[in-house]
Amino acid sequence: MSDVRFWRRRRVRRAAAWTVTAAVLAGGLFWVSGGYDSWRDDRALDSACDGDLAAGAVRELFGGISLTSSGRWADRGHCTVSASDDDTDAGLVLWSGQTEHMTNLENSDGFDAPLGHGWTGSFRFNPDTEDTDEAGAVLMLSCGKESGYGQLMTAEADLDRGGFDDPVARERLVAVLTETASAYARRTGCEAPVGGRVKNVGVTTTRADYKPVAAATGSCAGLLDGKTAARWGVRTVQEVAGDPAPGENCVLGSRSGAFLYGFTASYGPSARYAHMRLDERRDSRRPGTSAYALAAGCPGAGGTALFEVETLLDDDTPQQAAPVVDHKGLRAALQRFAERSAKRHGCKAPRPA
Amino acid sequence: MVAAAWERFIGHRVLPKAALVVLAAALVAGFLLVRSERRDAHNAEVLDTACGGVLPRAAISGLLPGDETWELYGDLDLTGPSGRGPRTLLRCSVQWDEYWGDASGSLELAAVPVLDFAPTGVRLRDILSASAAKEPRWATAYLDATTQVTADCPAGLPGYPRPVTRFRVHASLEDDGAEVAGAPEKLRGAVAAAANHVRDRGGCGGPAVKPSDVRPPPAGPVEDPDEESDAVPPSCRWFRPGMLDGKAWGPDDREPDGVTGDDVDACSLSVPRAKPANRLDHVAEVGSVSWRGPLLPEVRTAYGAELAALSGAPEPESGEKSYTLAVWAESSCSGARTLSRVTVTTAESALAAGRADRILAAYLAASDCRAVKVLGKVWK
Repeated sequence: MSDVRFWRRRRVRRAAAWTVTAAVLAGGLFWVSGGYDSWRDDRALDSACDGDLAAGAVRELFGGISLTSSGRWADRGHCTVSASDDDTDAGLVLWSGQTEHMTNLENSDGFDAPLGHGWTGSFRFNPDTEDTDEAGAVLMLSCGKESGYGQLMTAEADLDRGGFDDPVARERLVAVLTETASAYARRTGCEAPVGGRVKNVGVTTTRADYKPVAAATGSCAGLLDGKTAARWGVRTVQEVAGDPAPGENCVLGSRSGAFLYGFTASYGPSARYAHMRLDERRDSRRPGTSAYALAAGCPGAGGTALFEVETLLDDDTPQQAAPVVDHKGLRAALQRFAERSAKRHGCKAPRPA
Repeated sequence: MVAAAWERFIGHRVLPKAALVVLAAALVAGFLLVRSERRDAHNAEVLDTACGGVLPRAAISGLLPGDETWELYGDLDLTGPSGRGPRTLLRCSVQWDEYWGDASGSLELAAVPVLDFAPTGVRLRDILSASAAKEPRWATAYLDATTQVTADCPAGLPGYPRPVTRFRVHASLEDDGAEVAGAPEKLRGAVAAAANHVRDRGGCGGPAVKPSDVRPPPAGPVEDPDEESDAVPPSCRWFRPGMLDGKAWGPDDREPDGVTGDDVDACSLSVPRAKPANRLDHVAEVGSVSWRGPLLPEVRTAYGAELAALSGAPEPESGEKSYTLAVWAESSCSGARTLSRVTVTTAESALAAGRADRILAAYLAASDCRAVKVLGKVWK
């Protein structure tokens, strides 16, 4: 071999050795710095929850936090996303189940805010809580017209830092739920109508949110005329927006917002539970408490809805109503409440339960 | 020539090493300078962004450590028409951690509406539970702040279910867990600026908030040194155990619970019986409530069924374990039209029936009530 070729080959071998060494060092650095783990987790997010998870929406919700996720929906219908860093509690739990197998939804400390925008669902965030970084949302999907059958999906999130008093955070969590639910429905053949992007997501109505009765625009609107309200001592209402949700409430209250009459509409699993409680009350033959109930058949996940009204009860005699009750007027108000709610859900006309 | 100069430089005993040292020093100095400039630019951007950009940059910069990097957390500006009416109008937290060391600090500012957390009702249980209930943390945080102001919004803040005409702005400055000396005075400008931001964005009207309006938070309730910690509440002091053949309260007995307010006085107490008539007759209970002014219509609604059932001499149902007799009266107490309700609960109906009128009279006399009209009684 000539001297020139020898030295050229030696330079090439040296250059190759340096290149390989640099590549190994760079790769090692990438791995040690957590870059590989982050990249791997990021790719896993795209296929999480059997590919249903709205990965883009999840990334928006949690900002720059590195996340790990479940690959599949677990046996009990859960799919989780959590922060890769153990020092933060940030995370998300999605749950999906068939409405016909459920008997209740978790109660809220207040009235959850309907989502609107073509969805039957609600958002739960208590604005008076100290844990402003936790919130949840629920969606009911009707997979066809047959009454009582549908899909329920919930999302519970913990931001760790930040809070759901920020309307942007609420909008992002709802986007995670609606986009994931839509993907799930498409994959499983659930032909549920889907709504649009939810903007202006409300928060749970608490007792601090009462308003003058004349200002009612949502679930309490038009239940009583002015004269009847004055006669009943009703001066205020606590209400939610007039959009379809698994549970819809209206409270008629006194001047200071104190409870006098409460109207409740229950759909799907909540209705099933409410029917059970109603049957128990009737079976035990306890004296009436001026509580009335109507029911209506609803398509899909709504099942057999139940509409109830109850009055403030006497402190010392809990079977009796505390105010003087206008029974005829109360039943008429319940009828109006039930008809409006049933119409929102596409249900039949309400009848005595 | 250059080659020769280079050869001389390389061959010199000291010059190469000195040149390396100078180069290294220049690189470090350049790095620190660039880092310092980037840090200053970042910190300026934080102040321009925080709390809607209302923090007076010069004043606040002087309060925060200039040689640390400031980070902005929880920045939220919901002033102006924001829909439903949030609990937080404005909020930001500027924090720093010492690069070398464990010390840290923060500047926090928040503006919140003043919402009334009225009692859940006018009944005895509602009134007593309301006095123990706590307002949410966001509503009371100003009490722990370094400085604060309560500002008026005559036109009402937009987006709330009912008129909200006041809001609070509070700020805290802490360094390494302790309040910074002189912080209350130093933060006045920032608090006033934030308050005027809320006012302007909300279309409040009225006069602007001045830094001189900003003050440290009010002190907590002063305990009356003359009042013993376990003393009977003022609204319960009208009662004597002898009214129900009772004995003085002991350490194991339920303590009287009472509330005194502008429009309502309430008391609930139990009295141990000196000579029980049967095995269930160990304790009797008494409740008293007097309502005045704007509460009267609400009382007539909430107790409507009971008021409609009042009579002169009702008969109790027999066979009960305990009997509660409620007595109502209208009167004028300290010049104010007043509705009063007294309940007596005993294991023996005869005791309650025989003592209720006297107990009511004693209660009204202790409250300086005149023109008493007894409305009637009802067994609960």
